[in-house]
Amino acid sequence: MPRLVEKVAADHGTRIVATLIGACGGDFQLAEDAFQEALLAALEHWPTDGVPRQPDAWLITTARRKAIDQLRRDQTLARKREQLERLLGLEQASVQVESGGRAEETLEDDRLRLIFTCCHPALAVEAQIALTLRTVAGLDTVEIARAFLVSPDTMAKRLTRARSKIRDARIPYQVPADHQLPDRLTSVLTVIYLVFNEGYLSVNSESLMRTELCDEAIRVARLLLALMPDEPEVRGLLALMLLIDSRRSARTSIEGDLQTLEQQDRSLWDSDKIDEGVTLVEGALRLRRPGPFQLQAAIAAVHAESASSGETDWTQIALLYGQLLRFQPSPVVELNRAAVVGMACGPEQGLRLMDELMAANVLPDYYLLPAARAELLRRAGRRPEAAASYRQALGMCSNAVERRYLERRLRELTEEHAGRD
Amino acid sequence: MKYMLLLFNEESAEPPAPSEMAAWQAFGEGAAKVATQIAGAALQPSATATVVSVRDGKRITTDGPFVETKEQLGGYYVFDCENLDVALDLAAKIPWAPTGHIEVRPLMEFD
Repeated sequence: MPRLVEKVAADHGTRIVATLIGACGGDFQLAEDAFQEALLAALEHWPTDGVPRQPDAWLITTARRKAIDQLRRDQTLARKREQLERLLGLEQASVQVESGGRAEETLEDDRLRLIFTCCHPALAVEAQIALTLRTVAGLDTVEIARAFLVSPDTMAKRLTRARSKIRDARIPYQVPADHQLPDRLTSVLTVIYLVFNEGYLSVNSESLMRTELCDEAIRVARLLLALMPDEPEVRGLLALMLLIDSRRSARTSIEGDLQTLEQQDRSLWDSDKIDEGVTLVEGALRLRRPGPFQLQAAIAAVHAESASSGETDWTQIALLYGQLLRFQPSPVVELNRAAVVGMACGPEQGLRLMDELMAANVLPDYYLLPAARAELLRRAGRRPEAAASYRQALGMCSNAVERRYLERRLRELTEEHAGRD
Repeated sequence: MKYMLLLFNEESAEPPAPSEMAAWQAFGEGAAKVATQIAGAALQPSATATVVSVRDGKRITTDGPFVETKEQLGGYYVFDCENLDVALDLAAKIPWAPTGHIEVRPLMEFD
């Protein structure tokens, strides 16, 4: 029986909590507490009374009553009286809802509200990420803490602070109005992509990828796309993550060494993910409302469809980066464009753009700049300068796997050089 | 819920132009449609400020605000509105929003 309760919680937990937060007037803490109490009640009652026909509906109703009890115990504040009235209203209406079959639709609305509230820009970005993983993706606090390399206690405090701010500043539990939607959607997409990148890039981590974070980000993006099918940027983000993720098994060698796009064994790329990603990005671009995620996905799609690095249409990628710069005028995008220009028009052209970035000192401590510069210097046959640039990159990089890669490149360069002499 | 909107901006020696006054009035009229204004005022320049504290029973009076920042608190509003999003929408429409910063803080509720 405990296993059955666990299964219902795992399958429906986040949907139930989303609904409860709505019922509790946006009070995340009250909803979470009430849900935990309802689970305890299920463990107590289901073995003797039998499993209810709709276990999820039973849990919602029970949790709502638990929340009402909690508020009755402490209704000193006007806000709590308001919440109580709302819950009592729902309690009366619940019979109709549960027998009318409208419950499913309500749940979907609540999940969209939940995503937007968790990613509200009034919360710190790290809190948005934690809350999204906890409440939308349904990971537990210990799992999230492990993924972000902080103690469970720190993560629990971060979540509590976020829930308190939602309650105390009255961050609304709603899908933003049309005039707020572009900004707010960007905030949601950014959080999902940060989760994905945290999994994919794993700063300071021995293992290059914490795949569960990538999987969760993709899962949440799928959910968002189902809820907002007409937003091309949602489609673009899902496409981008699928296309990057398709290279997962090719990204490191058997020895755990990082493989660049050029070195990767492309037969290891996941063709299902590529097909899905390419279809999604094509569908998005047809809507003719381009955006940064669609453009990045289009770039990833060109790579995905090229048989080798040499056969890649670098000119098209350089053009796409040029468009991306209009949406995201950032030095990191400029660096990527410079690297691609180096492939499309020869290393000296790319180096000229990179030297401008170095001179402007807009990317201090960013090891990928000297690393990318080293790569082009090597191609241009300027070996001593390339070696110096690899050493500079090593001085800034802390990820063990990426350090090994840079060390190997440096070694290859000097060995190659020695061989020639 | 009541929110205080704290308006920060660089101080200007110039008195506001008539067009600027019209913008503040338009803001007030627009705000009245979505929220109830409880209070609001513009402050005199920070040079007119005096800071008081009491330490070990002794009153210490000094001139000016503590922090030497370019932006100073120049005014405030208190609005009663539905939720934070409404308050943030109001903040974005304040004529200083394009040049300064608006801090939005919910008021503590006691009852």
